[in-house]
Amino acid sequence: MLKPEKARELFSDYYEGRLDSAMKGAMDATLYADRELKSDYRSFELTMQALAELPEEVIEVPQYLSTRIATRLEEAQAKREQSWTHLLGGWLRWRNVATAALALMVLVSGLFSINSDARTNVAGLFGFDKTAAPASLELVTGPQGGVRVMYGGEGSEVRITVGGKQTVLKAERGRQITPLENPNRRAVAFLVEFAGKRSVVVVPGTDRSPRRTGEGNLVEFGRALADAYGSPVEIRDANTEDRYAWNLAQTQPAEAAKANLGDRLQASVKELRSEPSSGTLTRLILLTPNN
Amino acid sequence: MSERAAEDLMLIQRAQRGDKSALNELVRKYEQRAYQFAFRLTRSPEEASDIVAEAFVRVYNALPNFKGNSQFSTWLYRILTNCFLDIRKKESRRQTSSLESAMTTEDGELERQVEDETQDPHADVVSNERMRRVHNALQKLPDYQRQMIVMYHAEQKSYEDIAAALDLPIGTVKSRLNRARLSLREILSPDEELFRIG
Repeated sequence: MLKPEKARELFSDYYEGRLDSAMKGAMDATLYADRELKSDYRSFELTMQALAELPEEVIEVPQYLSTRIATRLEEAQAKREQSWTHLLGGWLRWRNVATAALALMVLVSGLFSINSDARTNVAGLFGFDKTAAPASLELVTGPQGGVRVMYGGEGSEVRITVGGKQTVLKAERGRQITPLENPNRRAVAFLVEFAGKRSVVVVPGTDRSPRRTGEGNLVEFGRALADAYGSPVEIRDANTEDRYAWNLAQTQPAEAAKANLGDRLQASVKELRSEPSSGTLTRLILLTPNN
Repeated sequence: MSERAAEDLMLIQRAQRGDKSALNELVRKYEQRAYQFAFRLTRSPEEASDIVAEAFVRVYNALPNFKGNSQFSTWLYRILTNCFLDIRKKESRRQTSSLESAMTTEDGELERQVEDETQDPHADVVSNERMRRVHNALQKLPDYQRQMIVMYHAEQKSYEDIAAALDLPIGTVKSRLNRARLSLREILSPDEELFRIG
């Protein structure tokens, strides 16, 4: 039997099968006898399983990265050349005490200038706002397109319901982004609730539907629109139970929405900006009540 | 020496002789990997970009002294880690965020309106949320533990590579990694239900 603290020190080796048979036997016996430790080890396993998903994360590199590196390297190069010019050129030219004093001032100011720049760069690193932001939610896109929910504001929460299942996302300091992903062939509707407001966001599937006519409630209309044109649709502040019949004969989704919704709703095209910043724009069809 | 390491060494030697295109080539070759590593440590595109830019400046300044005793990628990881730690030392007032989150499942009104699908978009939402909480938990770890987790689990570096990059004995790497995992387990324990799903 091992002491619990000693056993915890061996969790990683035990999980990865790196214990010799005697130690593994001791660990087996300890876990069998100590229910609390066994429970700890079970949650350790869950942690390890979650960590195994880390390499699968797709990290988008911001477009500005190369430019930022190049700019910083150019600055570093200029500083190096400048400091050599001051040190060598100045020292060789100035011959008397007065000019030597001047050289010292230039040198000191040069060093000060380098330090000042360093401070400026450091300030740049920490200049962005990390204080608590007011609660906010915005639909954005990503460098690869798609629809993402970007939200923030410590203490607030976003509820996303799809297929009858709800997930509660707790907003924290800074901004969080959750993509609304639809791996299916047909469009899927996500109900997004935040700060007392509700939106239905319809995300197109992988296939386009040739079916252009139909009838149903507003969400079903949104799905038909997304299926036919491949555009995401947001239904905001509208009664989703109202029923419509549609014929999507128009070439553009916004025109189709206007033609089929009558006076009850207005349709507009909203361009979602990319977060993180990139040249990508996604056009979303926004349906709102016609006041 | 691997082909990649030999190619890097040639680029470094050219850069040491003042060939700027060789340095550019090194930057192009490693900027994405460097960014991914920095982003995993910081979870901030802005901060990660600055770390990477600063790291390449340090590479540029230290190039004349690079002897080739270690691979360029190992050296770069060490510089990136130092940049990250330097920044964190200065960032004394950084605050951590709350993890008191819960996953709830209940019938929503959309159930009537959205048909069952063969693939489950909800699973994607849960998976994303799970990853987000892991990343939040990582941000709560001390820097030296976080870099262990990121290097081993996300960057999939071996114990030997981590020991070389951080200039630590392998035994220290292993014990720090175990402690980091235990700390992470502690932080994530309130969210355990979320991690049991799927």
